[in-house]
Amino acid sequence: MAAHLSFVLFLVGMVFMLLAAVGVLRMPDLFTRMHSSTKSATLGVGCVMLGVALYFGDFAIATRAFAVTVFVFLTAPVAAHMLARAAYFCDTPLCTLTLSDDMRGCYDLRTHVLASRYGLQERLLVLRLPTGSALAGKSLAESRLGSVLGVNVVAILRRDQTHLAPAPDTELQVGDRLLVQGRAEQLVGADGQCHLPLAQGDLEVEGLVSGETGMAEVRLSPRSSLVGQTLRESGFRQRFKVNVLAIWRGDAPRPIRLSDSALQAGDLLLLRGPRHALDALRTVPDFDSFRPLLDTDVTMIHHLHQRLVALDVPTDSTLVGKTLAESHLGDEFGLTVLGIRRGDAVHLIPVSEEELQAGDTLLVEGRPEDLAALRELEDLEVDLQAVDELGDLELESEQVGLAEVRLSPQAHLVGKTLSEAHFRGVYGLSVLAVRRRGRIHRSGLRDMRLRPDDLLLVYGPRERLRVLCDELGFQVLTDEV
Amino acid sequence: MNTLTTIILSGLSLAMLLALVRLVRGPSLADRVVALDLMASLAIGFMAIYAVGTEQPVFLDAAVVLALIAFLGTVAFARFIEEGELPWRRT
Repeated sequence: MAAHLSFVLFLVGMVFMLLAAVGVLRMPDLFTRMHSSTKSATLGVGCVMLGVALYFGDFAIATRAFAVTVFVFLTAPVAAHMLARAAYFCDTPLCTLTLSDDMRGCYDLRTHVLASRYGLQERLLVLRLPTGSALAGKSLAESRLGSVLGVNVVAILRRDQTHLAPAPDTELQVGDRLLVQGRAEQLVGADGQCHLPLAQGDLEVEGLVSGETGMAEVRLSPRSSLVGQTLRESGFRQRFKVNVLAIWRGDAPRPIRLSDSALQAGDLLLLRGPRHALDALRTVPDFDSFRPLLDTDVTMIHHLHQRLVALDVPTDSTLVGKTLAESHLGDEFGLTVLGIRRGDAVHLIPVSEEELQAGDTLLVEGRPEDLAALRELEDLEVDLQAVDELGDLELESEQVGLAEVRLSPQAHLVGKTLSEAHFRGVYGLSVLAVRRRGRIHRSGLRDMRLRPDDLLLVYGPRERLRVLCDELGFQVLTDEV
Repeated sequence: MNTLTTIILSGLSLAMLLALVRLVRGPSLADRVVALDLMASLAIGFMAIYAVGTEQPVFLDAAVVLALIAFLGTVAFARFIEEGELPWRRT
């Protein structure tokens, strides 16, 4: 009986070894050949040795057979790893069907040392909240640090404590040092000050009305289909080709984000746009009364002053080259760009595809608080020395960790950008880097359209990471990066 | 030696031949080392089956030794490929 069983094992072992040889001959490149030879030849030897031990049924022989098996099982992976590593350094060509090379760019080819794939330490920067900063007392979410400066706040250092992966509702305090991850060159100017993508500019609000552009006041009719909709939902700007500067309800302009509030019958809308577009509104049944305004209409202008501001786009701004839609001025800040001054020309009613250029001055409308939030970020000081001393800060703790996650094709994030999916809000995690086909993207992540097989480096509380693991479409590869 | 061991030994010989083709073809040194490593594994299996066929367990000792040697050979080759020269020749 034992002899029969051992011959079956010999046959199985032989088949595996034969398959290994076929693989080594037929596979297209070195690494696939190694895969077939190492795996199935090891298994083949194991089967044969087990058969030998059974066949002789002698303790001394079984020990020898066992010794060979153990030795092959121990050495084959080590030898294969050494050989593959050596071959990789010699630029052994990969099969042309290879989709992605996860190791590309990760080795220092001179020293053969594996560097941190994501190079997180290179991009850390410390921002300090100076005394008297208006940001003190605000939460991280309210400060909009992330969206304006395009950085992730990795940790807050307060006195001697380190708060890793702070939650969006963490309140900032004077003297806090924020460890942020992002592009240093984009943030720090020659003066060591924090550079905002936008600076205070000057544009006369009175310049709102020119020969081509006028202002008008209309009242929303109760029969209008716009009632109950927000300006954004109704596509007001596309539909009527005019901007809404203010909404009056009762006696005062409403102190709200214009684009997000639902319209009511009887609302008084202050509109600005090309004169022909305004004239066309006279016949639109959505509006009851139509009154053209002159720029001498002082009370109106007075109220507008608080809600309008001019912002310059500096040469080193991150917004240069982006379209208005990509700048997120609208959804992040509730700001509406009413006009762009470029050189001597003023473009009124810019389209959302309009690209911003260095030196542009934007005339924007928004809530006074939103405008203030933008200015407060200018107070942040960059602490260049602190980076060296904090460079070794351990980013992971028992509560907070990093994980690498692969998106599978059925993940609902596929095809969306991180900001569209509200990734930060939904999962409470920040994405520090995205790896796609061996290339690592560390900036502009918010607007990157995700594809299947993208690898996301996510950072946050471990319990949140575990939640992410359980979700369909996220394949967690490692929690040690 | 019975028929069954003969069949198994012929199968292993065929595998050895296939590995030999890869050893000759290359194209890179690493490919040849992979083929050589596989041939060592095949030889270990061959010796074990031969010991069974001839009822001579002594041949197993040779298999033990070959298992030890083959690993050292592959490691040495890997070092050679990575360093590009023999370690003791380096200045």
